[in-house]
Amino acid sequence: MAIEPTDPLERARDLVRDHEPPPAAWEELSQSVMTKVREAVRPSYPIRAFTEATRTPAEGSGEDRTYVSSRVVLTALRRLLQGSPTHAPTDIKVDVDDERLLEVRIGLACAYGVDLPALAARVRGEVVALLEELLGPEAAGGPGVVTIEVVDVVPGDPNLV
Amino acid sequence: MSTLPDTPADTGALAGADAAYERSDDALVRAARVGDEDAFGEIVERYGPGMLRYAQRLMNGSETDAAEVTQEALISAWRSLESFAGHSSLKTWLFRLVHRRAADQLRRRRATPIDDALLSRMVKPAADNPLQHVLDQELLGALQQALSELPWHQRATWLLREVEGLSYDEIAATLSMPVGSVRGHLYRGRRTLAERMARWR
Repeated sequence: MAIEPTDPLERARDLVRDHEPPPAAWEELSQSVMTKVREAVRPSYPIRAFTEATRTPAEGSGEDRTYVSSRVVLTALRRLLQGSPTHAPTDIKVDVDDERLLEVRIGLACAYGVDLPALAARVRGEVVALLEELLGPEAAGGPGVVTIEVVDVVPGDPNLV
Repeated sequence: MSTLPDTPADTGALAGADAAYERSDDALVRAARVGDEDAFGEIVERYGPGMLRYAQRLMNGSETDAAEVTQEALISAWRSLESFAGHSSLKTWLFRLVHRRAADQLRRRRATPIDDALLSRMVKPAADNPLQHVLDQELLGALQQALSELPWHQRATWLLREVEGLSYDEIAATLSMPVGSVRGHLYRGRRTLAERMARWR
């Protein structure tokens, strides 16, 4: 039999310390929190996408236009940048003006020992490829729109440590 | 709208790593700050139960009030993650959020009577010792009564130190007060609680 504290305050403290919310009550609360988190929509802006089918349509020509929400671009970038043990995103900003993508600014935490210039070049290439896939080559703007800043270096995979 | 590609990272290195490793607080904050709801969900599961327990004891045992302030604190955390500079630990920051909301809530309301039924639900029944279970319920009721009569800062410092296991520095950061004040409040709180609980010896 476990030895229990004889001091009543210690015994009462241990009872409180061992207390966990009833599973059903906690599940209800955590689900409510996550529902509200998902409903807390962040600002989003439409970005004009140019594909071969909708390539530079003339104003007023009546041709279809395709837009991709900046939120979609942010989510795709986040997933891309979380996919390698060499780096993790700390910040992703997409600047949009007049429905055109102006700049993508990315903050990265990188693993110790990684060749940072080479990593930045690789990440820039991957980001540009993703933007071209989402928006088309012209709207993506090329490597010049992507700014990468390494803001932290950590021992190990920054997605985990 | 164009069809969007499936990104391999969804099921890639990170998903595989999750099975073997628990992400650190820093990694979870990093991910949640860029909109990763799953990472924030892990934060909720890691610290939410402790925040709820702290709020409940701080708010005179009220389960409803504790759930409300815990929810408010967690949603506020999600919205203000970008302002979390990492000067204190994630745990300290979250407890500060729940503490402030509990203080606001209590300021708005009159003291809530202790819910005896709630207290009895708190204690896990000792299947092999019904008498001990009854005694535990009464002991816990006495502690909640004594806690509810303590001055606010004494109650908070005692709960953060004795129940949640925060260091003096962490309590100071949580309550925005000097470490010396934490020691003073804790000393007085311990002394008063020990006196109130002495009749249970």
